[in-house]
Amino acid sequence: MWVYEKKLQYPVRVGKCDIGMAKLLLEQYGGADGELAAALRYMNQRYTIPDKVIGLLTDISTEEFAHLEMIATMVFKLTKDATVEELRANGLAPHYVAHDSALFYENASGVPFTAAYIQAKGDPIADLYEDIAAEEKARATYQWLIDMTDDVDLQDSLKFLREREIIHSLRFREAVEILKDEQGKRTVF
Amino acid sequence: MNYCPRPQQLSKSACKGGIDLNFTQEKTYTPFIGPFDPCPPILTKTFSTPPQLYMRFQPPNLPQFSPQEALRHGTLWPALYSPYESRWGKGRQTNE
Repeated sequence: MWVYEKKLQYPVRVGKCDIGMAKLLLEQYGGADGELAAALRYMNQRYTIPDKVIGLLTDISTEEFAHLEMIATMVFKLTKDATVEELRANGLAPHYVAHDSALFYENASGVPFTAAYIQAKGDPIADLYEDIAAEEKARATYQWLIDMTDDVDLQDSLKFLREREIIHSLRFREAVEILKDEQGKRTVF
Repeated sequence: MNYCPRPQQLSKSACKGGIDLNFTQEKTYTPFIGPFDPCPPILTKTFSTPPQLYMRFQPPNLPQFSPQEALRHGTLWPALYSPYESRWGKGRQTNE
């Protein structure tokens, strides 16, 4: 069960009408290393991870949904007032013919989201290492998105999201350390 | 043990009491430049090496940002803060 707060985790302000950036931001919306993939991955793996780190996966997954909401806000702000001509000029014609100006879970190239992006191996170390990799890839994606715009307001929100990937990566690394710890070793043989 | 990385934008006070681990958050290398490359070369390439790489487990009692600063930075702890500057407008000079 969740409690929803009707506000964003971090403010999203878009200072420049750059419709092409909306298309690029979709990489973090419905891309392989995007927020949807992250949220669904952790929320599913949590069931079969050792009890000590279940809460960590649940919490991080929940935060990823909050990030998804921020990305959606960015995309929506950039596209809601775009004319069809502007959408077409910015490479969003294929999106328009399928979705109008609706948001859709697809990556920056228009490839729809698939569960094949995520895994639940059942092996806690395998799953946590995937999670660490996912955080680092998402961090890199944010870096390249920050590189692709000179809108300092948008950059500000993206820098916040990049920092959160760093924190999540450390937390998953700590989860590995917890599971490695000899506390859980078998004492009766 | 206290950790304190040195992202350039940190105030001194944020690091008070911390041991400077003296790692940089960006690494550079100089790639091979061929004599017949078609485009003007980028002499130096950079990549990120943020704090989580240097901290196996976060130690307790790290210095903290004020709540307002923490919200802006995306983390409560200066030791975990990682600045990133856009490459937009930097041309071929990725960084110094």
